Amino acid sequence: MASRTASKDIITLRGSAAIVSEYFGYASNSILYNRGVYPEESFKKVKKYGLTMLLTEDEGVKTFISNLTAQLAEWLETGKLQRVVLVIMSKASGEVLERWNFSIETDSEVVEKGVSREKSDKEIMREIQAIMRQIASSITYLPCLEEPCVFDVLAYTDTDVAVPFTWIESDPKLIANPQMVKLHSFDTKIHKVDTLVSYKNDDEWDES
Amino acid sequence: MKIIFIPLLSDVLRWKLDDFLALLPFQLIGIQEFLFPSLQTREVLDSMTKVGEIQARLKQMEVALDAAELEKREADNEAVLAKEKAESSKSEIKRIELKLASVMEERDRLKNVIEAFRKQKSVESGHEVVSGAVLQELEASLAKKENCIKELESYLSEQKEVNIRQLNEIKFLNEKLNNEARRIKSLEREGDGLRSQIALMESKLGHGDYSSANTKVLRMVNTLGVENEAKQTIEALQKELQKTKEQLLAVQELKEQSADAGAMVDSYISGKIMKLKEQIATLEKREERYKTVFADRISVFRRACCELFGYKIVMDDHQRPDGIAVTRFMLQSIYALSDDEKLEFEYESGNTNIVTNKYTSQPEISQQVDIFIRRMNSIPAFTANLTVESFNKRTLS
Repeated sequence: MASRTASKDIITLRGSAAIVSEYFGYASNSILYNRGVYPEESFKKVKKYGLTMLLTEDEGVKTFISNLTAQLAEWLETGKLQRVVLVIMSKASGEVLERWNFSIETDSEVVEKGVSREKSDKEIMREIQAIMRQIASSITYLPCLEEPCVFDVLAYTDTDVAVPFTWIESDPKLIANPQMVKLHSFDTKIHKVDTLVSYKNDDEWDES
Repeated sequence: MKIIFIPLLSDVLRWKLDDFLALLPFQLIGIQEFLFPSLQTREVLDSMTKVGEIQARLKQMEVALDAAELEKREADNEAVLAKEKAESSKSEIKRIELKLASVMEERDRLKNVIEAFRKQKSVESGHEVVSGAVLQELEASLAKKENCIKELESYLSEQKEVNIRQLNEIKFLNEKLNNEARRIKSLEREGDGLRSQIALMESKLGHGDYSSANTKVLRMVNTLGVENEAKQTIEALQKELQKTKEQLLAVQELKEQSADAGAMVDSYISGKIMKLKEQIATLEKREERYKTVFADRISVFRRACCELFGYKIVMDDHQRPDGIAVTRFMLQSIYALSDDEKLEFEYESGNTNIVTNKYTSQPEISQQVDIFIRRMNSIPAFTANLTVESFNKRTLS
C-alpha cells in the first residue's frame, strides 16, 4: 500500500504555484525574445520542457522577471491571482500593441482545505511544451513590431490583496477592438492556466 | 369273390356278441348245429337276418369307405393345396422378409436422416425427437413437424402482428425522430446563439475586461525602459541647470549694475497695490448697500404676502442627510390660535411637499392634507381652506 502511494504523482498547492510561476517566467522570456522586445544577442539558450528555451541575460530584465515570478508564486499560493497580463507597448507613444493574457483558475478546495491533487509532472510539462511551441510560432500571425517596444506586467488580483511595495494600481491597458488568438491551456489540477494573445487590429492587412 | 372285411378297431370295440358270431365262417355252422340241435332252424334264420344286416352294414361300411376315400382324396387335394399354400406362404414370408429387410434398411436410412434432421433441428429450435420405431418416429416427427408448422404458422401470424405493431411503432418513432430532429435543429440554433455569446464573453475576457467589484489590476513598477531615459533626462537637466546658473550669475551682475532701477520698480508696485485696495473697499461698500436694499425689499415682499395670503412665511436652507440641498418654508396663519399651528413645506427643484409635523398630523388637519394635497394635488386650496377655517374659529370664538 505504501509503495503504491509513493508511486502516485501528488501535486501540492506550493508545487503547483512553483510550476505556474516558473511557466510565467519562461513564457515572458520567450515572448520578449520572439517579439523582439529585447535584442536577440541578449538571450541565452537553455533546455526546458523538452525544448530549447531562451532566457534573457540582461541583468535588469532578469531581476525584474525573477521578482515577478516570486510575487506571482506568493499570490498563486493564496489563490488570489486571477490573471497575469504581459503588455507590449510602443516605447515612443505608449500605445498598447499586444496583450499576452494568462487567465488562472484556482481550485478553491485545495486552497481552503490544503488537500493535494494527482497529476504527473511529465504530463504537465507536455502541456506547457505545447504552449511554448505556440508562443514561438505566434510570430507567423502576429503583426510585426516595427518600432522600439517596452513591456509591462499586470496582475488581476482579488480586491482584498495588499498591494506590494513594487506594485501599483493600474488601468488594464486595453486594446480597442483587438484581434485574439487563444492558445492551449495547461492544468496542474490545482491551477488551470489559459493563454490568449490579443493584438492591435491591423486594418490594412484586413483589406488586402 | 370273397370280400374279407377287416373291421376298424373303433368299430370292433362297439360290437356285441351277435356281431362276432355273424363273422364266423360257414364251416362253423355244422359245429353250431352239433352243439345246439334244438335251436337250429331259428338260429339259422336269425343268422341269415344277421348276415343280411351285416351285409347291409358292410355295404354301408363300403359306402362309408368310399366316402372316406373321397374325403381322403379331398384331404390329399387339400394337403396339396395346403402345401402349395405353405409354399406360397413361404415365398410370401421370404418376400415379406425381404421387404422387412428393405424396410429395415429404409428405416436405418431414415434413422440416419432423422438423426441428421434431429441434429439440424436441435441447432435450430432445440426440439427433441422421440426415439422408437422408425415409422412411429417418422409419424411422431411428422406430427411434430405439423405441430411445428402450426406453431410456426401461429408464430408467423404473431410475428405479423408484431411486425404491424413494430411498423406502427416505427412510424411513431419516425415522427418522434422528426420531432427530435426539429428539436435538435432548434437546440443547435440555440447552441449557436450560446456559442456566439460565449465567443463574445471570451472576447470580452480576452480583451481584458474585469469587474472592479472583485478584481483589481496591479502593475509591477517597471523601471527598465525608464532607466535609460532617466539617465538621458538627468544629463539634460544637469546641462539645463548649468545654463540657468550661468544666466542667474549674469542677472545678478546686471542687477548690481542697475540698483536704482530696482527702487523705481518697487514704488510703482506699492502704488498699484494701494489703488487696488481702494477698489476693493468701494466694491465692499456697494455689496453692503445691495444687501440692505435686498433685505428691505424682501421684508416688503414677505409682509405683502402675509397680508394677501394670510400666512407669515419663514424660509431657510437645509441639507438633507443624502447631501441634497432643500429650501424649507414655515407658514403660520395670521388667524392661528396658537404658535404651534405651523405648516412646513420643502421646496426642491420645482417641487413643493408638505412635511408632516405635530400640527399637520392632527386628525382634522391630516384629513385636509389628504384631501387637498394628496388627492386634489393643490397646496393653495389647502392653505386657503385652512385660512377660512381658522378665520371662522377665531371670529366665532
